[in-house]
Amino acid sequence: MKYIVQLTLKEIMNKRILHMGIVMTVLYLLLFGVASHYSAKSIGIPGSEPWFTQQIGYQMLTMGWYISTFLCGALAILTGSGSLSGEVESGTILGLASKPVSRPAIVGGKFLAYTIVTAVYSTVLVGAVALLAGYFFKLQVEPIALLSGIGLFMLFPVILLALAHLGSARFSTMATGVVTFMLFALAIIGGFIEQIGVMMQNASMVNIGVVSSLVVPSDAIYRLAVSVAAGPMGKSSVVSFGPFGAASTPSTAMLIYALVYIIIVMAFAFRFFGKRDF
Amino acid sequence: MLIETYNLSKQYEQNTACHEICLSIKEGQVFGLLGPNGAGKSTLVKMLLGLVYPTSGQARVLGFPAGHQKAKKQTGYLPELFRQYEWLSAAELLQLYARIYEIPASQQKKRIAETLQLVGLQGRERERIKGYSKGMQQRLALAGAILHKPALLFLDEPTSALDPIGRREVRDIIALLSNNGTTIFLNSHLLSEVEMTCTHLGFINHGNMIDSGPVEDFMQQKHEITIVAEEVPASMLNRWRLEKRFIAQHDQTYTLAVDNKEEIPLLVEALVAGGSRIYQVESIQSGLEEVFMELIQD
Repeated sequence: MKYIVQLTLKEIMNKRILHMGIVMTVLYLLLFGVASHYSAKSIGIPGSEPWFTQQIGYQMLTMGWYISTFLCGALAILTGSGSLSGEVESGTILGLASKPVSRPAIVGGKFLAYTIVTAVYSTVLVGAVALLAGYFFKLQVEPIALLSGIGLFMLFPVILLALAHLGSARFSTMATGVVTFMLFALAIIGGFIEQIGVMMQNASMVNIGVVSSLVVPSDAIYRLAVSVAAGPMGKSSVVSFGPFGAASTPSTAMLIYALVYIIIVMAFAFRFFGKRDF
Repeated sequence: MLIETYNLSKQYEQNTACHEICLSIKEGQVFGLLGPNGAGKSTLVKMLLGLVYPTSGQARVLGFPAGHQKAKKQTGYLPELFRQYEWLSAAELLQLYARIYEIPASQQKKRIAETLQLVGLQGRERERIKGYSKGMQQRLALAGAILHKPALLFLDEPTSALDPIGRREVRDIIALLSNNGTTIFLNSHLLSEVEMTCTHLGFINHGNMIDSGPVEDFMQQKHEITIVAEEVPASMLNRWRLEKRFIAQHDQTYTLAVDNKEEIPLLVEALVAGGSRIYQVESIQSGLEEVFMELIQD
């Protein structure tokens, strides 16, 4: 499996989508930095309350992280959808699978390599967003809480990666990409409905959000990461009720569910790829 | 037996790729599998490599079930679709394969250099595969198949992208490997290539194995001779016609059918006794193309 991980890491580094993604990410961080600078400057007027600056800063942080979910999600889906099916479609799998490499090693090695890349990418991205927001708004965030939040955020693209690998193990790259994006969108919409449901105190809307989180727990993990990163300040803040916050903070059970979810999805990916004809 | 299959079948939704194929290939054979497009040749090879799962039947390769890791370790495969990781160089690709095949680190560099030289890619190993021609990519795929000196080598259309020089080089490589004891399973459309390289043949059509055996058995199925002779008596010609031995006559050249080789000196004796002067006697072997067409059309 070690060789598959090395091979896949090299493959990802040569992908144009990753190079474009890095350029777009740098542009995004520049834009976020400029926006944070002017935003902090405009509220830094004499007489403004420090807590108000903290609220706006926290709002910017959650917004930055929320947009980061799109970047991380896109990276995970666009690269992961062709992880296995791309090899089958191009025929390179014939050279690899005919060698003494087991199919579980191929699936596991590829998933691990993509997980490493997306985890590093998401850590750098949300870490940079947190640094920018922290610098411009002088955010009082507990370092341990922030690091825990970033650690949780890493799970977000891994969920989508697992789904992409499940599809890629059985279907074409195109079909996998489309379906995984739709599931990603479902999770986002479900998250929004749940947020609005909490604000309106509408149990049905909250339940819709919970069900969508069970189908694809990516948005729930994002909300949990945001909540954990902000620590007590985020939970007590009024801005947690905004669209990017976590008015309804997912429980630790959701974290366990997400981990089990990834294991089960990957178990099916192993099974499907193991039975596939090349 | 290095390869043994029993009633090996692969059924796709509406298409039978292979139907109850029974095949035995011994160590050291160069087995050529012939058949028209879509006959099931590549599917059969893929089943033997564990790349395609059979619907029914059994296959053992090198004493292990088809697709077993231990069998794969001693097997090489050049697929018909020989796409490689284009973002790697040939040296990087072969290095990866060397590690997968667990070739000792101390031998890897030497083995890679030797193999690249054998397939004619020495000096180009640092270039990205993306810039290779199709022929070069096929040569590289062959290098990947023989790098670990396999006991069994599957070649699926190994010269499809090569020029005549490349084809000859591949034939030489096959001969070299065969002389070194490698058992070779060759799928090819090029009958002349198969005729020159194989010791045994199998014919497959519509997923059915029609016939298989040593090359000589197929080449000697048809016994014909040509005799160039003067003053052949009319009585002799009539006798040949009655015996349904007469096939054709062009001037002094007669084409006759014989049941076996032993009949040839008897015919010559009879002609000499009848006063004929014989200038040439030649035994005609039927070409593989003719055998192929007959078997496939049957």
